[in-house]
Amino acid sequence: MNGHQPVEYELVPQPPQPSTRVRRDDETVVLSTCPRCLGPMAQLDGEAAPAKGIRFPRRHTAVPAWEPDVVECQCGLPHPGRPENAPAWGCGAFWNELATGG
Amino acid sequence: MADRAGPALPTRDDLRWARLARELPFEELEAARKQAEQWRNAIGGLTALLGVAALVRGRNDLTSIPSNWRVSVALVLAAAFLSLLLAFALSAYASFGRPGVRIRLNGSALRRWSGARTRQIGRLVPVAAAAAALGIVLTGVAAFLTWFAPATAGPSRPYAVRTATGQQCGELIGVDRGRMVLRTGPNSLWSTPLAEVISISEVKAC
Repeated sequence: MNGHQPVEYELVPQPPQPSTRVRRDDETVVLSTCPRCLGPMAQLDGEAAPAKGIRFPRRHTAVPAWEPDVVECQCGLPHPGRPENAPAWGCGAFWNELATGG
Repeated sequence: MADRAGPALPTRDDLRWARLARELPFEELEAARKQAEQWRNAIGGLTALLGVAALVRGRNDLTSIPSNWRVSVALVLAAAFLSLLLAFALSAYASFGRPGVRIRLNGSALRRWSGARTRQIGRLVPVAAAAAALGIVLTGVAAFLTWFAPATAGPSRPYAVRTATGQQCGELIGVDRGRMVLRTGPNSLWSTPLAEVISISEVKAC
């Protein structure tokens, strides 16, 4: 895989990283590269109904066009020491998004 | 080029919110179905509120109390029903939320929504409890009014009594020692042995 480093799994915060958002059909895909293992990542962005939805107060439910989020490595490549039940398939790195449009 | 970003290094709590937000699409169908089911049950429970009227059993027939008392009972009962309805609606709203709301798949958005929802529940529940208490008190007041309202003296229908010697008309007082007694005037009573009564029939007027 292009430059991917099979580093040991560890939950470690990383400095903000840029992401790119591209449209695919009616969805937005966030493309980024993990700064720790250099694995390429693509994950869906969008909106969803929270478990128990309510539209109150309204300012909290307006869906913004974009908002920076925490991204977790989801390179999908093997990393030694990754727990079976780890929610993300990656090296454990996570960082704040620094978006480059979308 | 966007120039927005969070703090330099995210915390594990930030990561946890982001993970929860990303799980939402996988749960939303089940959540929506559950929410619909809860609303269905709540609407079923709403009909139980109508049973509130059945609590007012002081008199089986409210028409036997004076009209001003009757109007008071009706108003108090209506207020009780509205209070209980409000309590029901607020508690259902607090519990199930409103269907169809969507938020961004984003840890910050989910955290804000969750905080707003928690504050909202904190505001709604005390109001719902107060409305329920008021509804119960008003229902009790309505029952009290029906129990202690004076009975109206209903107009008694006159009866025509036919005997072998003729016919007499008046208000039926009763039977006393084998004799039927009628009130035939303000100060006059008439009686006849039961054995001589051929027929008794209600009439509109004497």
